[in-house]
Amino acid sequence: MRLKRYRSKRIAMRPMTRLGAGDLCCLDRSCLRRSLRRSLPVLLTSLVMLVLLGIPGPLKAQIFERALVLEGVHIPLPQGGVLENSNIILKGGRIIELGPDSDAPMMSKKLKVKGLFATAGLTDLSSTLTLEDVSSGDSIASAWDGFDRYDSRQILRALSSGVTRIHLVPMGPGGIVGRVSALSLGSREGGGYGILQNEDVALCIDLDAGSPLERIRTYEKVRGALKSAQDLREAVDDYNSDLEEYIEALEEAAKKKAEEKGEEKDEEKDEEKDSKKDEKDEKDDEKKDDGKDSKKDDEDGPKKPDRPERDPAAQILLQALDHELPVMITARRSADLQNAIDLIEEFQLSAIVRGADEAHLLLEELAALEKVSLLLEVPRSSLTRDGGPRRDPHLIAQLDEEGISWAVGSGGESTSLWRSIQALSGQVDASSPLSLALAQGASGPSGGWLRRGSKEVVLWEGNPAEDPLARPNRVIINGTVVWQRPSGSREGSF
Amino acid sequence: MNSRNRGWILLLMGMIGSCWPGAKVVALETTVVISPVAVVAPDGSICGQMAVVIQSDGTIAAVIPADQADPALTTVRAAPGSVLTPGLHDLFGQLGCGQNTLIAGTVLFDFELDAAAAFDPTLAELDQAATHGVLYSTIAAAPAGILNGSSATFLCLSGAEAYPMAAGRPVYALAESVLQSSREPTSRAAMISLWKEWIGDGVAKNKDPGILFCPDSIDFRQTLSLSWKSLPVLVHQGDARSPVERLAGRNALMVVGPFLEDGNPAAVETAIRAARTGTELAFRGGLPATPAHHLRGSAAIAVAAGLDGDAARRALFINPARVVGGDSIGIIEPGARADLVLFSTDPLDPAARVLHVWRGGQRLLKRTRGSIRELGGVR
Repeated sequence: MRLKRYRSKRIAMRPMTRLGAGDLCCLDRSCLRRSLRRSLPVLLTSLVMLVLLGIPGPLKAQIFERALVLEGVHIPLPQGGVLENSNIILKGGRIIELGPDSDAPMMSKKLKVKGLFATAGLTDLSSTLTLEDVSSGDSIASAWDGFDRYDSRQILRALSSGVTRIHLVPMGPGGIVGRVSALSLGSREGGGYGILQNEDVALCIDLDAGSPLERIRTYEKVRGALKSAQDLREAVDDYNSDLEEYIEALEEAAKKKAEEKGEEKDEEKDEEKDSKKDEKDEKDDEKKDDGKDSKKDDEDGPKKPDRPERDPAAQILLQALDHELPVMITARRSADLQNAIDLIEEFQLSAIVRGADEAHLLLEELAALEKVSLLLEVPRSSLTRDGGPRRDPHLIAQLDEEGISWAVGSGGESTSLWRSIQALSGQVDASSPLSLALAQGASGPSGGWLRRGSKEVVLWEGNPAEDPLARPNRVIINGTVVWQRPSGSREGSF
Repeated sequence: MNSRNRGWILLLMGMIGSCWPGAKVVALETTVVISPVAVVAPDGSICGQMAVVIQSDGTIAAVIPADQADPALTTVRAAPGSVLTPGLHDLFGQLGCGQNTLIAGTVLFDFELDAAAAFDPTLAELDQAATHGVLYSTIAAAPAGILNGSSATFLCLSGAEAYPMAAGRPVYALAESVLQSSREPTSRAAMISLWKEWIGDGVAKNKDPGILFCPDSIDFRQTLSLSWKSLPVLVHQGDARSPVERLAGRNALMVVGPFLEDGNPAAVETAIRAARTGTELAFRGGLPATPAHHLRGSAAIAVAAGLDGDAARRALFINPARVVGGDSIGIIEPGARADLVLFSTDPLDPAARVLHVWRGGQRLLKRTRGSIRELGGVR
């Protein structure tokens, strides 16, 4: 404290001097260099800060985010075999490098996952995750609206089975129940899980709900809705053509009016010599006359056509009729499948038939349809005869024979997807459950096998391509470990 | 089973086979060897390259390494990768009961009620279950009293005669279902005091601790709080994650499930925690209402949730026999019944299919194509 006081006193005692223009010559080059050397770090830092402030956020994250390295994992390959002791390097949430020769960048975060098997995440093409109590009943409803992003218990269960993306199928009392949404189960910035990827994957029609009589009524209702959408389109087309005619008629009327006005103006020029007062009166009279004339034109002129009422639900149905939106029809029993086939044929729909347990009874009809694929779910049939639809154990082989494309979905909370795929893989020749699982949703941005650019990684205990008891250990989405198998005896989640 | 009876049974089985298009029974004439095959050992592990010798009386003569098997004997060559297991066991379902439901409860301590009275061996569902590898059905009365008579275990074989596989065990209940307004006990406290008295007198005399239904968490907790001399087999299907840790070191046997897809994860978690305490598990059935592959499904769900594979196989094959006190069933060892199922792969694999079934050494062939269509009946 004393020293500080002393210094401040000395500074205070120093006489105040100012450098004049003549004094500048006293500053030699060495002085300049010294001062520059002192201020250079400050200048550079401020320059870098300015540049940084100008870079957009995501790019900044990619440049400055530390890479995440999964060291010593085994990567099953599509053609069979395993890439052993590989490193997977993730940056900005995506895989930027993978393989045994990939070196971890400096300052990277390393996960101790040696010996685990890494695959891409599974996609459940038919999920009702968190939609237990949500019911919808028209085409405007979106499954995404009903998704409970904070239901971490259910979502973590789905993640624990290796599912990272789902197609959320809306549930309802039957008929047109809403639109299927595609989402990733990654964690959200604001809390919860679920990142919407596509809100309009398909329009969902359920022909399976209720008693046989209710199912027939449902079919008729759906048919009626599609027909009324077609009628609406015709009405709109008629309106558009009527509107064009109306505009033409209006133009003609306007021309006529302009001609009449021209004649009246000539008469006005002759009367210009009258007094201002008279002019005003006359003008007022003319105005009144004009008003009367225009009123007359309106009465006698073209009538504007009435626009059909807007119907957003019908607009979505029209998208389906125009093949802009595929239709997912739930039908399991043969009778419902026949109804689905009739709908597809009548309205020429691009359809995915969900369920299709008794498809073996209608193979020829299904094969004759264009743009139709089946989305199978593993049936939970009991030994009792009235337990539900029955599936032929050789259905897959029969579908392959007929050239009907198919995929597998859980049809529930997604936890059963991997087991469903395992169960069905036994019916598919020369196919491991893993290749069957990863073939689903392969057309998506990060579907298919693990590759550069993938955002979702599942680490398994055991090789899922060969070991039927292999189970997920961790799930990484967008560079974040969203689920990890709890260790120890007090597991918190299943 | 004497030779005269066997003749009748074979004739009967032949008739069933000819009437029922899905399956037929091949009579066992000589000693048969199944080789080379992987076998589920009593500890639940899978031992590869073994040979199982079935003798003409329908029992297992030997389990030996495949290279030691006599090539002169009739040999069934198992498909590569296939696994031979004991028969699956449907515990406390309704398989073989049809519409009959045995309900106890008019008498609080019912010593005479025998679940075997509700068994109908003529039901075709027994053979249907057998084609899925389910070879035993144990039934018990709905637990509405403290003692609900005894359980009954039968071979899944449709016919005129029922084949009991184990002596009945007393079936107890410490559950809400015991409480009735028309008789004692009407409250849980009264039920517990009755239980305390019973443990003090009855069980000690009876010696067999039997099977105890304690379905809910509170039932389970109160069961463990009683001073048992020997813990009964606990049948629990709820969320007892917290009290289950009190099973540690008590050599308990616990019946859990059935676990269904999208079912209660807490029940699965309870089973896994119980297994970690050293408790042996057995999966409860639910046929014919539950899916035909429900037992293996329960095991697959438990394994996915963290249960050890060997423990799951024990819970599928060996422990159910322990639950009902079956001496010669549920195990592949010399002297045991040759009730065997050949799966295409590890039975815990959801892709595993039933390739062959032997009931008492007799082989039940399955048609490879269209069998389920015919069995299930397409409406």
